[in-house]
Amino acid sequence: MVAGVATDEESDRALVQRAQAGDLRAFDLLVIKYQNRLLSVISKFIKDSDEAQDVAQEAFIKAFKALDSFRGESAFYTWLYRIATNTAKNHLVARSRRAPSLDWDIDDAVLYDESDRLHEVDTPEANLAREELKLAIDAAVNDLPDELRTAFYLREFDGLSYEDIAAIMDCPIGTVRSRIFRGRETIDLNVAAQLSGESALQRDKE
Amino acid sequence: MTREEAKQLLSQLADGELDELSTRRLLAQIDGQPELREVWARWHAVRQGARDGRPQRVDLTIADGVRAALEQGGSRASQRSLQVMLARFRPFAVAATVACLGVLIGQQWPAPEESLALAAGSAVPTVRSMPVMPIASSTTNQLLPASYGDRSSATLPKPVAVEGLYHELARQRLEAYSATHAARGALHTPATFMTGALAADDNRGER
Repeated sequence: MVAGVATDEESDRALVQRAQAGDLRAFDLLVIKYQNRLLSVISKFIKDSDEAQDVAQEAFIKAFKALDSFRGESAFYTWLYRIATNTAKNHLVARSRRAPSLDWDIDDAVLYDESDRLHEVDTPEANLAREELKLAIDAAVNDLPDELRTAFYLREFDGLSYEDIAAIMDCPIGTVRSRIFRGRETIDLNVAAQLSGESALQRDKE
Repeated sequence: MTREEAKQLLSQLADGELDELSTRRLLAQIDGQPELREVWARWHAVRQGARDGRPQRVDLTIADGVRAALEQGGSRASQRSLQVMLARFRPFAVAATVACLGVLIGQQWPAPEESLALAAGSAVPTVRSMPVMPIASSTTNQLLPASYGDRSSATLPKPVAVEGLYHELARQRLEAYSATHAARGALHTPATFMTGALAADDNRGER
């Protein structure tokens, strides 16, 4: 079992159920969660970034319309991935361009690290921004108090459930919940500051 | 629910540890606290960074586009369903109108005693503005023309041309069919004959 996949599926299941009941806000959270991963998959077919964004948007809309047909037999992302690749291929066929063949199986979609290929189309500036963001995250995690860092680490790096973390840290589940939240909040402050610095830099350039 | 409470629930949702009722409560807060979307995006960027060392970009362009398109589509769908419902109830509406008119005319029809008095030539008060059906007057032995108050029946509105409505209905059905077809198409791979044709083109090129 890959770390974090099980709890990701639990989170997706709750949101998919609400989205199937017609709640657009639930689907919106799923879109925010997966938009970058889906965009990187589509970028393998479509090199133009604006066009790839349009196709990603189209894939999400098709997914929402077909949401009733999702029975939860596979992971939500695997199902979404299939729709995205088909939308991209159909887009190329409609534009009379040949779709490139992929050298890996669709069932490995959840485990596959698409970000390697995303780097192929990224600009040096985008790579630098990502690197700086990573440094900011690492620094924020290292600065956390021990208890928060351990809880956060077990959750985000090892993908353990609250119950397992409570057993390891020998504390109530409510404490685990609170520690993970406070860890996230502290890290998010650093990330938000880093991102606002980037956007200020971007504005200065423009 | 305060912003802090909403973020605590969002944290539990991100970990798949939130029950259904709380999920509903949280989702209801998102419209009023749009910054929760950005927080959710940043948390997932951090999560990705923690897992593979490459944090995601934090950009809501695609999500905003999808949301706008679905909201627009939702309002269009509700308009269409209203049109369908109206079309479905149109025959009943016409029947109800005819029935109402019948009741009104029936109420204003002279009572039998009044008719007898009229026939006897007595001075029973009559109202000219009342709609009256053509009746044979026993005194004059002539037919009275139907009228709607002071307006003659010749000025009645012409029947609405329904041909245009049928064309509109057919157009809407065709549009709906095309949309469904396109949506289903996304769930399948492209037609093999097309990719086959492209492959044949490539082979020709190599030769």
